[in-house]
Amino acid sequence: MATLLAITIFLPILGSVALALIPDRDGRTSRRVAMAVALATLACSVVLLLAFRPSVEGPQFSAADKATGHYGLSWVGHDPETRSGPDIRVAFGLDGLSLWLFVLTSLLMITAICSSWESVKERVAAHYGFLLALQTGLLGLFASLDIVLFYIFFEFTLIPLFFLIGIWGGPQRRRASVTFFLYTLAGSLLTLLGVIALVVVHYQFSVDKTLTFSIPELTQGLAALDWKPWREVGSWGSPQVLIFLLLLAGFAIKVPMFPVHTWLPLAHVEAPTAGSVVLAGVLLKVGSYGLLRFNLGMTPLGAQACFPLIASLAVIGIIYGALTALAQTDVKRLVAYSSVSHMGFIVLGLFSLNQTGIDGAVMQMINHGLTTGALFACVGVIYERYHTRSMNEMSGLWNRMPLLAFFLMLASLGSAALPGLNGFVGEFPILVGSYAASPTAAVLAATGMILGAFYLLWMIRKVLFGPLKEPATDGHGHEPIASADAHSHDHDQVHPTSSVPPIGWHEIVGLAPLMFLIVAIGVYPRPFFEQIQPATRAIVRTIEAERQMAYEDEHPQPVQRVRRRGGGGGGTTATKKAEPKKAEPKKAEPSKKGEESKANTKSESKKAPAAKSEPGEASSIEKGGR
Amino acid sequence: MESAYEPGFFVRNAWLIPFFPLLGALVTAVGARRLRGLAHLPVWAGIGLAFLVSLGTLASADHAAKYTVFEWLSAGNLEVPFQVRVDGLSTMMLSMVTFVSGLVAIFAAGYMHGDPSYPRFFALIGLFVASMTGLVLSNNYLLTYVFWEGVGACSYLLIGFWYARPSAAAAAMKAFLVNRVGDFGFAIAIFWLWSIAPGHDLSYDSIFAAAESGSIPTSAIAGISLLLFWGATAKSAQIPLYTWLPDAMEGPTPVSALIHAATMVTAGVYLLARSMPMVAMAPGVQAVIAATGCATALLAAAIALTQNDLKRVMAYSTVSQLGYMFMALGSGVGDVAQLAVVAAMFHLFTHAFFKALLFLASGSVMHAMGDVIDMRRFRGLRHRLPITYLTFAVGALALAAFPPLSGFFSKDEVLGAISGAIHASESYSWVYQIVYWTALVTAFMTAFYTGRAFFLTFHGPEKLPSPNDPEAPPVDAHAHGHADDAHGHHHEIGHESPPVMAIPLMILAGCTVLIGLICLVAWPITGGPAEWFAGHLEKTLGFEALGHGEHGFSWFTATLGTLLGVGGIALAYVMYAEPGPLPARMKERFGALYRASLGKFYVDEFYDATVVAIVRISASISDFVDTYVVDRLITGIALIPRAIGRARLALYQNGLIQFYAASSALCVAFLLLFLVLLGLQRP
Repeated sequence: MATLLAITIFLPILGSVALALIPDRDGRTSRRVAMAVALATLACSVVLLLAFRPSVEGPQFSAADKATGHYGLSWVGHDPETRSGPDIRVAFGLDGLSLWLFVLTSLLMITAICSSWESVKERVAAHYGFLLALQTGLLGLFASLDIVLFYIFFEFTLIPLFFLIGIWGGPQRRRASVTFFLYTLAGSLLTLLGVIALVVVHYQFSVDKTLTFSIPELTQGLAALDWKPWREVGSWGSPQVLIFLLLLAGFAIKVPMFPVHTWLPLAHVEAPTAGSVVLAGVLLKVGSYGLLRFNLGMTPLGAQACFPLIASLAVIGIIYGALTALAQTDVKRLVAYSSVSHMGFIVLGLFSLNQTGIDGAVMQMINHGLTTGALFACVGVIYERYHTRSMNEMSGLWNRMPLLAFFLMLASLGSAALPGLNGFVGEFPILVGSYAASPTAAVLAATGMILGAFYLLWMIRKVLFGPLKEPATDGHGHEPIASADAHSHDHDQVHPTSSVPPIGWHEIVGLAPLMFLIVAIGVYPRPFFEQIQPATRAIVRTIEAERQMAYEDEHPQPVQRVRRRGGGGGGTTATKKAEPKKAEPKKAEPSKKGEESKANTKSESKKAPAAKSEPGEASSIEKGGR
Repeated sequence: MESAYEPGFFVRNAWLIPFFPLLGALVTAVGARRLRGLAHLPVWAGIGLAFLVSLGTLASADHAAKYTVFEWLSAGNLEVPFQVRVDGLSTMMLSMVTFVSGLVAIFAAGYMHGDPSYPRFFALIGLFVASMTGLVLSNNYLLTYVFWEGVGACSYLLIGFWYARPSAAAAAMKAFLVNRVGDFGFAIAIFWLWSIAPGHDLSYDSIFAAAESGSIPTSAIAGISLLLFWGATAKSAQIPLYTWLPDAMEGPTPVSALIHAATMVTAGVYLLARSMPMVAMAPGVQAVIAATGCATALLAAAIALTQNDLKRVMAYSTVSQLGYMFMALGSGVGDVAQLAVVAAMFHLFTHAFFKALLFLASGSVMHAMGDVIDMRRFRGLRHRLPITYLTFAVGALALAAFPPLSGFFSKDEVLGAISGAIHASESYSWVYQIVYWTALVTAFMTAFYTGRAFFLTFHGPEKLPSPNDPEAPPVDAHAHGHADDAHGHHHEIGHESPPVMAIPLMILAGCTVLIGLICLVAWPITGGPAEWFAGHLEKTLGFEALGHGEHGFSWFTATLGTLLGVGGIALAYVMYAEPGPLPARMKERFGALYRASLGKFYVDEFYDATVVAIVRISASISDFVDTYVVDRLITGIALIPRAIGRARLALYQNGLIQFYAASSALCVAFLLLFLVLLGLQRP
């Protein structure tokens, strides 16, 4: 299985090499090859998905070195004889956090290729080559178990996307691609500093002074660090907070969080449809994935200290993004701003620092990828026919393209978190989890539910409802197609004068699987959560354990102090049982603040019932007043 | 006690009730092209089977009856099983919903005949029935919320069914958004409940048990009840969120009958009735509920007095009648609690039949008039539409609370509950005093506007709509876009509807009479007109613990109510039975009031000018800020390095080869020196 994982990751880039070598005059061969490669990658990903065992907590499909227990193969700088030097490894594996993002990448690549099937006519081979290279970058990133490898893939994804936007983009493509590149590069350099700091801190202060770049080892090691200042809470100068902020810089831009989101609308509007689909569907998740893996997994106390800041930015992003979306007339810009709003929900869920919120956030990453990818693909379908995205120029397209109307409606309602569709099962747990962390933040964020419905329904009303009004298609449009009836699903009315082709098979192929998942996740979310939960549980446990140790540091007990090294790995039950319940309210008292005092007063009353629930969650609610 | 309960056959299979209509909807949707004109059959079958199962559950209703079908959602500590509760309240609702929807679906087959999107209509109806029955069945606040939004989405899609009409598009969006505002309150109530519920269990039994045992503080109960009521005001169209319902009449008439009169709009009433064991512990909130219901009933009745659109009169009357149900719910203080919730649910029950009847009859009129529904454009239809005329008359009399029809008994129960609350309430007695008298005044207005609509439509000299009518709107105002030519013009104007439409009307009229007769017959046997209904409802979770004292039939209230109802009809008869000068004179006399009522008291305009405008303006501001402030700010920060570069570093990039060579050499020298020094340190 480890081999299959490696093959899956590198298959696309081999495909892009092949595309460069195959001579191709009209681009037909290129797109077929690209499609074949993407389908093969998807097939491999699905095999991995089916082989994934939800009960296992750590990374799966990773070849562990039997002698040392390290994952993967040694790559750079390690001397196996003396066991000295930095041991940077090529190590891949999937866990609950990355599994679905991995599959999502493979799936959305099909959508991306389908949506550019007809629209890309120039330098076809290069276009698909860059797309496939981007796919390898993303797959490698999600599967990396080594922090250096992760960073390499992280930076690598910039390059193909830079060219995709810069070459096949709209009129302002150069500005968009440069802005996008510089923005993300600036952030990711700070993230690199943070990554180095993590490794160095671990090297210096871990118990056995190992220099490791392995993400699982770092997560465990940092959680059990033998360095008291590491667990200092409440001070902005504490090392965890500093490293947290460094890591945040790059990921926040990728997410993007308010106020560093302005590259996103520009990039989306200028990017070709395929670029937008991958950008919104997967690339933004790189940011939230990084936040989860590194900021929460490795510097949880920093996350806790920065909660007021992050939560405020997330809530502002939710409301501000939604309001700005409402003011747009360009459909693509509208969807782009909706991403700002929805990613705000994800960040809020992550930083609620409890199981419910984090589960919801991980789910929502998948959901947002599906719905926004589908929305961009639908907008692409419209743009390809009318060469405009202005909502003022079109209306009543339901009449012309009933199947597209169905897709667009489903994706929008899913995005608006309608129960029974996927958005709900992500967004609701996020809000519930963040309510436990801060009721004010949750209530404010919930207004995003209203605003979200507002701009999405507004778009639907403008584009789909109303009397049919089509923008004038320019000369090189398509000939009227006689077989229009055969394609249109509903037969509502296909005007004989129709000058645009109905939705084609390649567009249906690209969208149908997304629609299926949008409904499937909404109707029966449980198996999806079951795959996610072991991994999120480990992260929550790390957070709880570190909070616990920080608490014990602050309040040394007169009797012999036993420190538990909860870490990511074993000792679960020990940590759980050891939560001193009686001490909890005392801790909440000093840090109580105005609006959150409500949560605390409530926590008094639920002391007794909370005992029934999982201790982790209970204590996280009680710590609401941090 | 609960552990000893063994779920019976119908309890274990109650999930089939939402499942059958859903299956029917799916079959219709998938087979749309094959079925075409027969697309109603799968949905008919689905609803019919659901009705049969519902009847089965009626007998096995028990306050402890619940059954977990499957584990639906488990995100962290938010665990939601798909669990059904088959008690008195839910079985009553299920039977009513499936019965009325079945009749409406039959009616719709005639009404929607020939529409190009015929299959889509029936698929959505099936989906709606599935959501509504799911809402009623679920044993968990979150699951209720899921279906709660589900019915909202169906309503959205059905209001916008004729999507090419701009007015339908606007009404659909408005309905969804206003409901979302309500859902916001409901959602926050759920967050709050989740955070205080024992074991984060959101199921009804655990929460009511916790509320009863006092482990949920009183302030939280009051807050949560208020938030639930907020949610209910949107779905059940109460002040301040009622404005979507009249606009929802843009949808096809069967939709108005089913969703916007009989079933979905009662979801809010249902939710509060379901939560009664908790809401009854917050007397302050109850007073708010009663007062809001009362204000809504009065306002909507005042608007209904002057509307010219027959369906809008019915829509405002629905809002008004829902207000009565909330008045009853709000009266559940002290030992009136059980009586109040029974009154509210009984009124909901009877209202479902006679309001569906009135809407379908209006639809029948509309069908016969070629989609004209403006009462100024037709008159005196009693000879042309005899069945519609008679059935409408039954519905109108029931709405006017004329004895011994069903509406009389249920409205009397409501008034009885309010008068009980006047005595039972400790600190809010004056509120119920006002509510009681306002309710009586509203009863008079109800009788009047019902009579007005009835006489204007069916009495007086016969007149059929013609395009030359001065009241006729400009040509395209009624265009359904593409649907127009296909719908409503297949037949001559002014003929009675076909049997497929007439039979549901007769059945509903029969039920309206029958329920009244049952009350009359059961009265001497059980000691009260609605005791048979109360007996069934008592098998509801937490209801047996609600306070219930002795409440006899109040002849005073009944007589007064009947007199007011008869008075209202009589006044309407005098004014509208034959064309006369009286209405015009009244218009002149109360000019300002008349215009305000006709303009719906300008509430929509008020909301547009405040809430909607604020959101729109903030959106524009955000857009402006994003383009000109945030982006510039970030770009500005990016300019700092460039500025530094220009000012300082550019000096060194001067293009002089000699300078470059010298600096390179210098650097190499420093590097060597450094390395040498480093080497020296080592032993």
